Amino acid sequence: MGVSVTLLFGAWLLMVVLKFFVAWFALPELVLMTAVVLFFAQPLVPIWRALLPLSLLSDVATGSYLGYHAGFYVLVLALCYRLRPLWFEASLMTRAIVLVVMSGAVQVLRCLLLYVLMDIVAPNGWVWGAVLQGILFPFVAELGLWSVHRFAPVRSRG
Amino acid sequence: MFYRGQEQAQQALSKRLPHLGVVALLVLGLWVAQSLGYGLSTVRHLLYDYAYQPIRSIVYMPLQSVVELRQSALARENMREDWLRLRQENHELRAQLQRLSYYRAENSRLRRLMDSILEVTEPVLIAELSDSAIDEFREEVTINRGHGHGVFVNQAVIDARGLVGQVVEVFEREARVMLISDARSRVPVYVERTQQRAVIAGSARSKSALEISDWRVDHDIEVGDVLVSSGLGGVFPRGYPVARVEAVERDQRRSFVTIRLQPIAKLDSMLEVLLLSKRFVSGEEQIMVGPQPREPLLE
Repeated sequence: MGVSVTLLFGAWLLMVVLKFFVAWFALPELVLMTAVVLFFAQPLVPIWRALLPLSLLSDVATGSYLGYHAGFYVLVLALCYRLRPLWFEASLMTRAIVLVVMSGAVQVLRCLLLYVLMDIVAPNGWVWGAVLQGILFPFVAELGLWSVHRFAPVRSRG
Repeated sequence: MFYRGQEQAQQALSKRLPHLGVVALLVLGLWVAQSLGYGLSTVRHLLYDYAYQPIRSIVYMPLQSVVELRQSALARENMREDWLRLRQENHELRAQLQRLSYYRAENSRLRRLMDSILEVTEPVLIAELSDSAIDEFREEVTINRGHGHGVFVNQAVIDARGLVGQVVEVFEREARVMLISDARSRVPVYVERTQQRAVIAGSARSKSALEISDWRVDHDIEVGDVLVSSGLGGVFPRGYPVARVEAVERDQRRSFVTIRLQPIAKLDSMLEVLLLSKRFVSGEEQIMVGPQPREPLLE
């Protein structure tokens, strides 16, 4: 739980810092990427205890509907649910293709939800958010998995 | 806990699906409540005032210090130039002030004759920018004055040059201002030269840009024309400069003219803004006639 909270809060804090320079919706969704990694790597830890308050803070920070970010995270995590074996067992090329497709799809979903809920069109530069998500995800995944291995207790099968 | 076995992990992940369902239901509830008009403003304000704003202040402190240092270094370089310009402006404004006092007195006299109450809109509060969210479609800034300072929703905001926008959300110590260049913003104006009325909208195509989209090709408008707020609609007071015409494109194949406007207020670089408020003055109020200079007008 401690690792999850630290990683998620760190990702959110980094987004707040980056918001000083770039519009929030053009930024890669670092919190979501961290949540996906934790969702896959720590299946028993209830990440929502940290993710839900952070998503509400993100709503307040961006002036969007309360629950917008939480809804977006629920949708993406539900979509990613079946991808776990693929991420850990598939070939590098398959993973790369899935990553590219998912990065684009996640950003499209984010902007669509923004439009459907609040009639706000995607900001200029939203494509860069998708591109950066694709580039950054392997690093976030590595960092997340390393943190989980390093700081969370390991439970073997037997 | 981290699982070594993939099957075991996938099974554990399946157990997490009910959690997703619970959160999804909660989120749906929030969306429905807000779409039905229950804004949940108390929750939002509590989150903003006691969680987000303190964290953001700490995070932005070093960043803002760097920006301020950079700006003060630039300002030092241009200090002499600025001083000369400001002195010139000061002389011009003092000269205009003489006429202003005369006009105010005359206006008051006429109002008294009409037995009406004089309604004036004046800057009441100065505020500094503490955050900005500018992404072409949505252009908002956060100011460091809120409910506790008397700020209210729909309060008009100006800078030293012209109209900036209106307050759209008020927190205890901060408020959000929607700029006139926000694509959702509409400002009723008139052309200073021709008195023709229009409505200016923020442009979603480029940053800090404005446009008039519904004028026919035969309308009289030229590059350099100044558009001034007309006061219609009741949000923005009359008489504040809003934009200057930058380009007029008349395509005879189309019925409408494309007008590109440049905001007069420095929306990109302003650091302080003024909040306007209405003040009602009764007919009996004494208004000073003529300037009251403390020092010689011209040196």
